[in-house]
Amino acid sequence: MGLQYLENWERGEIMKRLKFQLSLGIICILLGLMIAVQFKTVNAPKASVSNKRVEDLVKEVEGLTAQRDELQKKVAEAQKKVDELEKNAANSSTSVALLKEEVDNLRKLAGTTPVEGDGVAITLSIQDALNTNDVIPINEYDIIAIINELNAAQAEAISINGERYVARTSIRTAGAAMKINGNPYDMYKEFKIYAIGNPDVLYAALDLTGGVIDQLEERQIKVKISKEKNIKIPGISKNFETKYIK
Amino acid sequence: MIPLIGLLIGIFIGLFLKVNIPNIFAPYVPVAILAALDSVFGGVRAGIEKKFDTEIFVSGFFGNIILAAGLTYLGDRLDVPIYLAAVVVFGSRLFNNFAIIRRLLIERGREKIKHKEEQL
Repeated sequence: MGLQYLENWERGEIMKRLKFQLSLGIICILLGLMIAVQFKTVNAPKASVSNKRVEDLVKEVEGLTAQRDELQKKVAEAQKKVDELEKNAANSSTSVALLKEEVDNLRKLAGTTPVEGDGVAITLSIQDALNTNDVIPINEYDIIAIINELNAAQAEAISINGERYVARTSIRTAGAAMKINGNPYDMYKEFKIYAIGNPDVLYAALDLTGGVIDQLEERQIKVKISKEKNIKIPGISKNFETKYIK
Repeated sequence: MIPLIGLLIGIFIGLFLKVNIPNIFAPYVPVAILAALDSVFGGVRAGIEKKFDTEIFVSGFFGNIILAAGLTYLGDRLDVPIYLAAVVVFGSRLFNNFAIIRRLLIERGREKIKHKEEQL
């Protein structure tokens, strides 16, 4: 009787132990699963871009830059061909000649072709002021203010660092770069602005007391204006598309 | 023995399964893991104390996980780091449970040795 009880008790105890071990085991599977998955998630690379080494990126940039230059050359060649064809066509009939003249005029206004003429050159730099504290670097508003002033003084063509200023030009800062027509320029380096127009008028517009230039000089930005002859301003290199204009 | 094997199986499944936690759930998993760890330690302790109850253990495991994750979510919504409460409570309970398990095991080991000596 006592032995039977003991046996039963023992069996119950073993069953209990097994149940305990099994349930703990199953829960432990879940726990291990969670830990492993979380471990994987934490260790997963954040983005594929960060895996690329800097050298690879530099190489890529170099390659793309070379490619771009080549394509630009091709564009210039194609443009030459177009010009030739236009000339030939203009020689053949007067109506075509008139149309060509109009196209040329519109191109000058649109800024798609290089132009030449008298005007002013403006150089902005903060190089000397860099070692003093609290220098506000040249920002997009300075450039826009100068361009605004030039346009008000009847400038016919404007370029900033070789970027032709056209109707759809954008000037904005992105980080430490000034993006003009989408191309980045170092904000801490020189900015060269050329404008074709009446040199005296343009010069006077900028040289006003309390004008744009005065305000820039107050901020320790070095500004140099000079009247120049035969300034060459390139055409816009970017190809703007119209998708929504009907 | 079985729990350890279970843990290893779980880790293996987790490593080889191509499942990643969606980003939305990412903040809640660590707290859930802590809650699960706490439950497992509590279960081991109850087992050694011979007070183990499967229903209590399993319900505690899932309940703790859901509560911890829910609190974290609530904290996120309210901009209060409530998950800290879960971390502190579960953390301190983990250490507590571990201390008790350690004490019980050592005491039991000593008793066994005494038993053997007495038998000799």
